[in-house]
Amino acid sequence: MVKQRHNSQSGLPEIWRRLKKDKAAVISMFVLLAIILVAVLAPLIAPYGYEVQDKKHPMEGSSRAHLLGTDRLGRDILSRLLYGARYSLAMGFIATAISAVLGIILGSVAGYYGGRIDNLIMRFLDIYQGIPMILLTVTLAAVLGPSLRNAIIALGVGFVPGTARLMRASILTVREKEYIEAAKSVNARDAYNIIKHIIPNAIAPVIVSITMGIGNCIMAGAQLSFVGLGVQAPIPEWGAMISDARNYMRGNPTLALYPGICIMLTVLAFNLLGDGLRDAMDPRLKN
Amino acid sequence: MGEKILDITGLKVEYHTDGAIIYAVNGVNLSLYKGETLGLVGETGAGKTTIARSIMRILQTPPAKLCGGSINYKGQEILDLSEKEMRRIRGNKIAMIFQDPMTALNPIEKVGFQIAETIAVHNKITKAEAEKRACDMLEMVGIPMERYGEYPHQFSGGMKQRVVIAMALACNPELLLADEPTTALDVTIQAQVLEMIQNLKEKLGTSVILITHDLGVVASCCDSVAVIYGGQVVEYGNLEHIFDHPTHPYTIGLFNSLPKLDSGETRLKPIKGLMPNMKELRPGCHFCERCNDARECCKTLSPETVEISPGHIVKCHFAKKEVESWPHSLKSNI
Amino acid sequence: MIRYVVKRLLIMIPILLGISFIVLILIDLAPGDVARTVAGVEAEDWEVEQVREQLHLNDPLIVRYGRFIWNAVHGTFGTSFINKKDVMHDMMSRFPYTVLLATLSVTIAVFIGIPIGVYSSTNQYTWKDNLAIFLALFCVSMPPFWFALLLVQLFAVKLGWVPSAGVASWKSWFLPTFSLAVAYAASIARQMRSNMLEVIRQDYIVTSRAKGLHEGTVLFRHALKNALIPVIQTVGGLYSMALGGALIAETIFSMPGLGSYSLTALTNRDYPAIQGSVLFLSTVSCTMILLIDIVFAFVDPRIRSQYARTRKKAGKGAAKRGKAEA
Repeated sequence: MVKQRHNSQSGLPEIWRRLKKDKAAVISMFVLLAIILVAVLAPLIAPYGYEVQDKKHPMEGSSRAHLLGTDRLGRDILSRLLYGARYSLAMGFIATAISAVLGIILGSVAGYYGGRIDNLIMRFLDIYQGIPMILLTVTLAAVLGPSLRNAIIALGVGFVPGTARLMRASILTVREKEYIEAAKSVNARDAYNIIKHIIPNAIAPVIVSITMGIGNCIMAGAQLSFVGLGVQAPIPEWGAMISDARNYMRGNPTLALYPGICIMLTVLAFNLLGDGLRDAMDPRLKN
Repeated sequence: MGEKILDITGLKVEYHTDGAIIYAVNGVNLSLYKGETLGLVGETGAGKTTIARSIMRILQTPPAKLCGGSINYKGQEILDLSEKEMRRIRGNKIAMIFQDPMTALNPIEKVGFQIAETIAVHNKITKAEAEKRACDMLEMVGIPMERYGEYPHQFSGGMKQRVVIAMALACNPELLLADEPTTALDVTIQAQVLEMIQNLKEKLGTSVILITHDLGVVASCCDSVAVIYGGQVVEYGNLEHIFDHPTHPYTIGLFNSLPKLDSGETRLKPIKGLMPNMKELRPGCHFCERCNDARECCKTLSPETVEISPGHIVKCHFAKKEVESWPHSLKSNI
Repeated sequence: MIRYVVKRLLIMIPILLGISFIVLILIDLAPGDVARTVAGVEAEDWEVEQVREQLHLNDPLIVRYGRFIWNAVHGTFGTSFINKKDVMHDMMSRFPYTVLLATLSVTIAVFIGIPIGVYSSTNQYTWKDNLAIFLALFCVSMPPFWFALLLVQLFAVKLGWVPSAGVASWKSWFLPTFSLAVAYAASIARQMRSNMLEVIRQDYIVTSRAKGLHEGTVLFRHALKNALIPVIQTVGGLYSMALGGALIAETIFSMPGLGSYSLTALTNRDYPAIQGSVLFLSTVSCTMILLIDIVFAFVDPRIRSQYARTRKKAGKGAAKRGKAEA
């Protein structure tokens, strides 16, 4: 069999080139950019404020004044959806950032130093993951007190073990490789080693995981708001909107439909992008 | 010479990948006689494994495409057989040994079972009988039959390769394709495995195609040699032809690049350049870029295959020219 | 194998102890004065102090921890603040529902996900595969609670095929189970597909074809079995997720399980109930993962032989001899 020449230069330009070929990933990137724009520009583009109540027209379907209708307090659904993007994205990005940083540090230390430190961290992660994740985040959010900030903390804490283990596994794989031996043999200091050589090579699967993690955080955050443990009224986080709409599903099913679609599109976009990133970073897996 | 059991003519294989086509095998002619060991020599990527896998038709056919030529096995045209007929031949009449014993065995099945499976597929016998024959094969390759129920990870590299050999020879095939069977093993184990293949070959009357890049292996095991370059046979002959009168510049280059212990030279003499990019089928000789004797005609005209002495074939424009030959005495150093 | 089981059981003890510690200090994590929150904003100071004594909040941490463990082992978690009933008693009567929900969801997910994953992998590059991948991602991106509401709208309200809440009949289990199972099935399908694709490229698959085996045998006997092994561990993780998902599902579908109990306790700061249910659910989760890991170790011969206690006597000697040679 012809051995294909090693063309997997996985430098950034090469990865970007491969990513561009994945149509789903490209569409997702545009969608995400659009959502981020919407979130940032919400005060400018939303026809109403998110708590403005039109008391004369509650629970109405779409009309000229309210393109997607109103909720039970007469608030404009479209505006609330647009503002909602801010909170969902904020939860997703910040919580993922927290868990990513903590997870990468934990995983790197465990993977690089090995031995007793590794054992200790792994036992700690075992305890951590002994509690089902949803239960952990809900419990933390409840105990700390329901608010956006606490929800973000709870989510950030909850997602740490997954990232940590992935980082550790990735580092263990990279550590075996010979070029680390080479660097060590030239007496490079530990921190230098980790930062310059190991992390860049080990980080690829973690980046994929983080991308999809943002989507998962958004979904978990919506779930928290749905049960009342996340943002508080009248903040129009998408999950909270679904919770609001729940009692009126019989008469007005679209009320719950729109926010759910928003969540789904956002999460789907992150997942497609993550998949595309994975294929772009390691094309061997695809072919 | 016995009867001719394998006759390959004009074999062409392409690999269709993301946009590019790789011309892996470009018109290969080979013959194999009963009881003969033919060595296929060449660098990585020359097309040797592709040729072997084409004979058994186990190429991955989405990327690979058998697009020309004929493979005649004892009167049957391999490329025309149905998949069902092919299955009856694989493992049964034609068998293959792979390069890396570490990955050639299914890690979650017992070693004995994997041998017995081959036997059971090709023979209408009971399970117990298949197991018994598998045990016999294990003994034949020097593994105690008590280890029937063990798993591959419980064996060392050399022993795994023996299991692979046992699996390949279990149904007493007429043709054995050995794809670099010793490359992944230690030198000491290499000798043992090669010796075992020789013994079994003599005992069972198998014909062998031995793929290797190691001229030493060729010298100790093969009756005839085909030198493969750029998906073509550039030189073919018996052992004396190739070792005493290497003619093609590539073959000479191969011998020259071997380190010589007694010549006083201090630098290695590699063949300059790299294998050509097989994505472009240029006209002319594939070796001309690296050839010290290349002329204008080499770039445009594909060399003909010339028989420079009975049974010795060379694919070069200047085949009849006098060239240096390898001294007899050095053959024993390999 | 026994050694492995015992080893894992022993490891579970410090894990549960660790979780108990976390559960214990949950009370301390809460902002503000817990005792006051429980006693009520308008309670007198002495009432708050009484509650503080009740909750033993004045004792040193070690003592509280010890007491908690002692009580937990004896099955005592105190009385719920909300309904004044014994926490353990409530939990025991409720947990079967949760376990059943989780088990059913994961089982259905396995039976749907694995065939789809295999099918997708054998049809790589075709529209069937691309559609399957997309659908799988689609299902995984749907918020499960929203999906549940949609299912209720369609199947219970509009079509009336199944009840929308409660556990009155066996039909009541369809929607809750399905709302969880779909996302898990998608997850399993994706993993199965990627495992199969990786396994099919392995050398031993080429070997099995070279032996003349039928393609079906190659796929299902050699490839599939190897590809299934990592999925076992995923199933363990999914079970843990299912226990978490039960919190929401049981609430939406008004099921009298441990999940809805926990959620109510959490939203109402019912600390004894919170402590009890978090510990209980975590124990169930750990136990299930242990069981699945044992299955995993049993199924993969590479791990199994690490813990094999006995070997056939002749085999042992021969193995030693064999290893000493090449």
